[in-house]
Amino acid sequence: MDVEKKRPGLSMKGTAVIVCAVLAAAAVFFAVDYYRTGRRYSSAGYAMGAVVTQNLEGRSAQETAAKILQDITAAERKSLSRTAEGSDIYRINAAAGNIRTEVGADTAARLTETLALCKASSGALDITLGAVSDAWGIGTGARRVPPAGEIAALLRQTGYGKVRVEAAAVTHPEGQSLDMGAIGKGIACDIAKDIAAANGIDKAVVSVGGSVMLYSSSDRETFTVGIRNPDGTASEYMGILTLKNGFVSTSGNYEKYFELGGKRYHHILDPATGYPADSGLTSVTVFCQSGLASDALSTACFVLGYEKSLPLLEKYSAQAVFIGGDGKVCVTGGLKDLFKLTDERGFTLVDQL
Amino acid sequence: MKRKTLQKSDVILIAVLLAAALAALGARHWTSPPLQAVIYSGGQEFRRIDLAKVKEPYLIELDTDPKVTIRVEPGKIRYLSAGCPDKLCVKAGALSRRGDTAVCLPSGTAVVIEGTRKENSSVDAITY
Repeated sequence: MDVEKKRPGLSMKGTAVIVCAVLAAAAVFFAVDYYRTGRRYSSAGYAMGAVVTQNLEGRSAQETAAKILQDITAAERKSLSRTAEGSDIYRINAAAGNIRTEVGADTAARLTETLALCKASSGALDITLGAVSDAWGIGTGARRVPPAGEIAALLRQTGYGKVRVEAAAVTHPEGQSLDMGAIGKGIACDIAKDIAAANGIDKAVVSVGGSVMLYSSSDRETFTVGIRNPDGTASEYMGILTLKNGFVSTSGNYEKYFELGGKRYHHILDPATGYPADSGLTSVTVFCQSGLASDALSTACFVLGYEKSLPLLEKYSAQAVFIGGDGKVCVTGGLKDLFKLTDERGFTLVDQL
Repeated sequence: MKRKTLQKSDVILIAVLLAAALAALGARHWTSPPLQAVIYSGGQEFRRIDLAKVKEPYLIELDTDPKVTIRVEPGKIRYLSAGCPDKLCVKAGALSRRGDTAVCLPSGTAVVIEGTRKENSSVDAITY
């Protein structure tokens, strides 16, 4: 007689198999979870006058995050800063007066790309407004409204067309001060992406003062990016973009402003007038495949206004979300299905602004 | 012939094992590092505060130029006052979720909420 007939249910062997299977499944689950957690790294640091937050996933996440912050800081100190003595931009400005300044190849390349954007935007982006920004006291505690005559005099010296860039040298006229403020964070995002890709990182989300880099090695991963609510605090968003690899940058009048006599003066100057841009927009968010371009385009579009921005965005295969002063929101075609308005009380989607 | 159907004892055994696995998962979840507020000054980490462990509100004064005062409360943190003209940091309000950030550029200070669990934030990043 078979012994197992007396024992109801599974045989001893069968039970053992089930126990082992469940235990094995649990072990695999925990191993995978442990492995993934061990590969994730989040950090926050400070560079380019802004908070840099990083969320990386990959074998060398922690080392890569450290390297990203290091290289962004190095780019600021050696190439982009207006105030760090010895940076290429600092030396170019100090040598104004048609004196040729030798610069690093990276600085020359960035300047060439940026000047092309200045030109494409018909000067809505102009990196030669440093002295005008200074007159407004932007970035300092001494904010003021400069007299009209002072602005007019300073504007005579500006103009991106007067800057000459060679492979490793820059020449520009006296009285002109280059300011990479509109693109520095975007360049930092480009640096972050290059390092993440070179170090075998699987997934990376890096924010440099609100300019965001999204990267996944598979190119299939999607990310969610909230667009800051211009009327809210820095951590409130009014809508969400669902995006794959790329760069997102926003320019808005809620950042760095001061109020005087009931009027708000923000930090994005219209190069044509020397006064804060007044195109009817509260903010513009641009998504494209270059950090430098997304940052530059968000500034240019903010100055240009909705209508004039469209051909410029098209030229750079960029998409945008425009927020008007009255809470109207307009999204370009490529983002229509990727944008979700979350604050429907404060904002309304429209087809054009 | 052998009966291959599951009996009550087998079901119980599997249930117990699954429950144990879930309990272990839960333990991991609840013991994962909670939200921390990190105060940066001059590009360096100045202080790290476990917001869940804060029982009574208190103030931190930073001797920067201009001076800033930070208020720490159970589960949140904010810039209370700053000696700068635009007070962007104070306007940022209370920070409580992962990724929340307030910056005071004039004083070179920043407060960031860090945490390891994604569930605390509903988006991967905020553009501003």
